[in-house]
Amino acid sequence: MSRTLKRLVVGLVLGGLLIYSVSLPVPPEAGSEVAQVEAAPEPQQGGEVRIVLFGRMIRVQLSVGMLGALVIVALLILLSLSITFALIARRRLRQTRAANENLEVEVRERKRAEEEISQLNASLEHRVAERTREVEDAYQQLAAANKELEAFAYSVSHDLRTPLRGIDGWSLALLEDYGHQLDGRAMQYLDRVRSETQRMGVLIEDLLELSRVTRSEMKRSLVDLSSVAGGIAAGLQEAHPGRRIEFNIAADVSAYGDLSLLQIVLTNLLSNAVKFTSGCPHAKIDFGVTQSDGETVFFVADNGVGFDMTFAGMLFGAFQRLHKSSEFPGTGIGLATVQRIIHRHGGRVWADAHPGQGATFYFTVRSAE
Amino acid sequence: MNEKTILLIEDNPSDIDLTRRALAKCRISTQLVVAEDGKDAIDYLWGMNRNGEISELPALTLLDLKLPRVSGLEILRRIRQDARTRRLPVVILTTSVEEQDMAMSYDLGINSYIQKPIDFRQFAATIEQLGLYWLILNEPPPAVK
Repeated sequence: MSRTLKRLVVGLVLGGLLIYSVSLPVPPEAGSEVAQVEAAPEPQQGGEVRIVLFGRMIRVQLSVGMLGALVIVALLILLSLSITFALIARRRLRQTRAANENLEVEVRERKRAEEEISQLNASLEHRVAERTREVEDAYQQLAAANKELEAFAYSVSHDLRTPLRGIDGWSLALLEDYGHQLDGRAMQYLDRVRSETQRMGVLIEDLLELSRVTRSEMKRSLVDLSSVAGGIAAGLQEAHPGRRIEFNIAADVSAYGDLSLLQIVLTNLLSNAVKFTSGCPHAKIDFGVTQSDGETVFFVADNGVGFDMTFAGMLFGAFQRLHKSSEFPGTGIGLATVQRIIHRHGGRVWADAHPGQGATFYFTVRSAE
Repeated sequence: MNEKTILLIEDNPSDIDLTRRALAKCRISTQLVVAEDGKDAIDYLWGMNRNGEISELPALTLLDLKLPRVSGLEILRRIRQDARTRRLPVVILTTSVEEQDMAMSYDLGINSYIQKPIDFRQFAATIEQLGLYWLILNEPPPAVK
């Protein structure tokens, strides 16, 4: 750009000088400090041009032929100038075209990129919709499974218990109506039938409770665990009048959770403690709260038979028992129920025990946000 | 003395006989009418007897919830909707203590909800208490005119 401009300026200056120097006719005495041009006395067939440049005179003899030549030269210069201009213009045009082409390519690329993006967006939307549908389907299936479970629990509750009443009722009828014809051993067998029936009934009840604590709606509030534990302890003491049980219930212990579910937790843990201290002449059962790593941890501790921690992993499984039925009766569902309730409260439950040195059950409950 | 009637709506033959046995043991003078499904119960309560008359209402209805053909809750709804039968004392005697069953039963206006115990001695005691309460202690509702 600047090169073209320079050329243009040089061309103009040269051309201008030429035209200036070919001024005809030259006026006499038309001098100046810078340049003085005097016409020759005989200007026929051309003329003499005197040019005074910086005080020095240059005399130029001009003939008609020379003048013509000068005109031609001037014309040639003009021609060359216009050719130069034309060339410049052509080059500029070419450059503009190239720039336009570049721009077009860029625009096309942009367009393609935009299309790609919109395609990607569309496929993303499609995938999101698909995933949403999958999640919805899974939810529907889960809801259906839950309904089935409810129906199952219902029929367990109704249909499995009914024959049990029959077994119990008719074996008792046999004892009552035909007892005088039976010997002691036969009567004992019938008693066994009845006690097994009772056990089956308790099993079904416990299973139903396990399913109920999973399904029931949670109503969270601040629960006064101290008073709940106190009430349960009083009931347990009444149920075991012949035993010496010392309950130590810490005051002002509360948790944010479902009252009836937390009641089930404490009932299970405290009655377990009573059960597993049955061999102690002086049973001690504590309920309290402690802080561990900034977390509130509730506990129920006893000085009963305890258990071997090797088997601690089995503790919270349904139907899992760590003691012989003849020693400590039970269905093995209580702690599974406790675990389910604690999990529903976003907490954890674990135990620490040693054989013969008692057991402590710990649990946490997610605090209110 | 005019024997009072208990209508037992129950489909399990063993439970029917056990109820009969329990009533016999407690020596409450009563006549036990059994409807083995919902349809039979409806026929008894709203149908004609041999003389072409609508039978007299029982003093107490023991109703199981799970019945063939017409469910216990449906029978209950009909009893409470009909002007003649709406004051009839109805006791649900069932094995289910599902919350929804109990809520629906109370919403439909039952007089009592009893879970049948598995232990027959407890069952017999329950039947005896029910009979004593509803047939002797309780003043029956006046007939709707």
